[in-house]
Amino acid sequence: MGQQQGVRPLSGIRVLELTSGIAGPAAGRHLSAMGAEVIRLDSLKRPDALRLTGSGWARDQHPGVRLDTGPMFSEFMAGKRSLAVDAKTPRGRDIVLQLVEHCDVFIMNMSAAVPAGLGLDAGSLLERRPDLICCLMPGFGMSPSRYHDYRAWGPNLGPLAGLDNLTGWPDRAQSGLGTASCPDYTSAGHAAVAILAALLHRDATGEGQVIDLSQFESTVALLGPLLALYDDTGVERERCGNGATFGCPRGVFPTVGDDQWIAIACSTDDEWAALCEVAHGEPFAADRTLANETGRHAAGDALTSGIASWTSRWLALELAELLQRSGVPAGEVHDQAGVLTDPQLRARRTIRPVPSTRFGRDLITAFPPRMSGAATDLQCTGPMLGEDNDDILGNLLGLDEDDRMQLADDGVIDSPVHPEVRLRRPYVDWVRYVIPDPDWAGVDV
Amino acid sequence: VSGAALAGLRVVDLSDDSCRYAARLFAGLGADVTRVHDGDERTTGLREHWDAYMSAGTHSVGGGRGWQSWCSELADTADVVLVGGVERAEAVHRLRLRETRPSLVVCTVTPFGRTGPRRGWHGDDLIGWATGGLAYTSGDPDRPPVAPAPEVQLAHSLSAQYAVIGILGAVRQARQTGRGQDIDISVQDCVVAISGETGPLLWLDDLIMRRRVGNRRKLSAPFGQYPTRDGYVSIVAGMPAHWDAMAAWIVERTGNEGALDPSLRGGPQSRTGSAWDVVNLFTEELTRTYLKQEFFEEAQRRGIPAAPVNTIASVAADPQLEERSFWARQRMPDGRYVRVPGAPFRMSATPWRCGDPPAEVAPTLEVLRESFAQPAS
Repeated sequence: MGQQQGVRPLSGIRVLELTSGIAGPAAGRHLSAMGAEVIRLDSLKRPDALRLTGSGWARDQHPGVRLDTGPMFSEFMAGKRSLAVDAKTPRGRDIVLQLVEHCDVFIMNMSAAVPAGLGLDAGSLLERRPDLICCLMPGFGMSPSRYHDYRAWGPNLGPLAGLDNLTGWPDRAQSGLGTASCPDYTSAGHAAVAILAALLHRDATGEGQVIDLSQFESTVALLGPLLALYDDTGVERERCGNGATFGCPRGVFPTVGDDQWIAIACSTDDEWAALCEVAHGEPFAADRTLANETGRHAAGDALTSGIASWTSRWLALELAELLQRSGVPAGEVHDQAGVLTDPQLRARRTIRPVPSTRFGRDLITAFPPRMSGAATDLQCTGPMLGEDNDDILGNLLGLDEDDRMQLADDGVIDSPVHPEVRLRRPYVDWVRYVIPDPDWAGVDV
Repeated sequence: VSGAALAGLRVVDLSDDSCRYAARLFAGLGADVTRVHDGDERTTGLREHWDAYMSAGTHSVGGGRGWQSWCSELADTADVVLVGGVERAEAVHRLRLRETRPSLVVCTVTPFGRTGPRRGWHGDDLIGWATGGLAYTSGDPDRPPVAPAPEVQLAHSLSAQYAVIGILGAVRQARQTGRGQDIDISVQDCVVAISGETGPLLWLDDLIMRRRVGNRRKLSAPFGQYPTRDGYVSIVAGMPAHWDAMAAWIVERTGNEGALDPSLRGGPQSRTGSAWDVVNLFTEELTRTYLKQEFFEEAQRRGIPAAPVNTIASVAADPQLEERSFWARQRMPDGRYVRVPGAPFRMSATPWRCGDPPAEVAPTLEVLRESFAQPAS
């Protein structure tokens, strides 16, 4: 799908983001991808969690430079600008409030007590900009409540909302969600949906509003069918491996190689019949008692073992292609290297290089909605801390160079640390062979 | 409070599982959502509650003719057509709806997207997790990879959210320019898009292959899930202050002064390697003396990020959700009521609308229009 460059759904919208971790930054990233100018508030004294991760290979760099190196920071802050201001100082707070007057959207995902503590509560912000869309997304919502001041981290929200207990095998303790904190991403998605809806409402009426997004509630909302079933019947769903509710067989099976697997998901008897044609000669393929889903469920572990015995003689890629050609949903279980070399992801440029101040170019993942009539390319990776101080303070707020120097001297703003330093990722020499992309031609390393 | 955020927006819903949650979001935000019913939905067990939850606040039309015919007719006055599945996506594009309705936004959600060598491949939530690289890191080290909470269909929740995000952006653009557009969403892309913590970009940077680790992570301790008297709690205490608070609590509750060992203090690295096992043992000594909710509230009081590993029943009984009046009542198609989650977010000027699923499929557009005129229960 060709994209029209230049036309963007959120052109002219400015977003101010005081966020940390993933949920808040990911919400701002969505808006940036659709053309909003997103300004994030940074701090050298209190860097956010993603800046603190840094890159292992950059340990010898100046600590301030290292704050710009983490791949997660590059990824989740892509497309944004950075103003490094200490919002805890009175002058810093004034700057933030002045900036709010120039913004359409404000996003904060700190604990519920933080906005008021900083003097940046919704009331103060809307006083400065009455048509502001103010999205506050703490763990447990803004209204006074039992968990109001509790700390919420992505890895704890999954367990709290019931997701971790549903992940893993019925004969063991739960495996948990693993290394991806799904509630962070789904909360970010809900925040972006709410902000966009609020923008449409503002376009029509001129009215701004406050969005109170409890990440806990936002996550529990995804479990609606299971909670409705429980309320209705008392039946409590439990973890079930890869889940056979929506068809059988549905699971992950071993293939040739160390820790290599294929996922197969038959949801109809026709798909099972197609799989049996591919597996012609295997005992399970000739077993008529397995022709319908009831029979396959009844076969249980014996069927799983039979399929595993068959798949273990195949390469995952070859078998996935064969099954798909026969109409059976299947796919390789990619490790991280597999994602990089996946032909579909390569063709769609799902992982792509974009300009980066520190690195010349750096890799990020593409914004999933591919729009025929709008450019949704993120324009750059995460910015250097304080990279846009001069432009934002000077051109937007009208502070001259002397004012800005005074703010720096007073510790109200943090200037970029060694902005002249240019770095190179350790993989730059070879990654262009994995991700063929014309944009790599412009790599300056 | 001034009404619904998406009042007047007309959505034709041809979603499958991969974007069904989008219909619920649109309806909750006040759009007029019409699902074209083609009679093949299964309605038993969890599926019955899935359908009812996802179609809350929507209307349904169908019967007598093919879904393409309904779609074409509805699209003449619609703003958005939402489509799920490979075959339907291609069929909708063959209808060339935007030729007669240039402002229309047509969004398709398919397992692998509408471009690329695998554009015709089939998939589902599990295939999305697998090919997006995140099933590989989910599960126990000695077992096959697993999809996170498979019956929740989280990958499909993501693709549905991305569909709504793209659509609302395109609607805004259409209102400014008069021109609609096509949106192509791949479930695989959506999973890759949330792999920043564990995916290929990290692997490229440090060449450390992330694998399945079960319910504890080696980054530090305590970091993961620990047994209590009635289940498990999750603790993420990587920061220095978190461990100091944990150590003091361990000593206070169990008398184990080993937790005060100076070598364990400091950042997350101080509690890795051989210290990781020791700290986990100390932590278990503590957690086993508590009920999970009791541990959660005490940990939070002490400034330690922790949470109970809740079951469906314990989520349903959570006091915070009750206190925030989170729950809603929803009428099932046969008239009985069930308790369901309420708004995923609260908007001060345009509140979420908790609707019911359609009681019946309207056989004509006239009947459909009458159903829109009926007040929600």
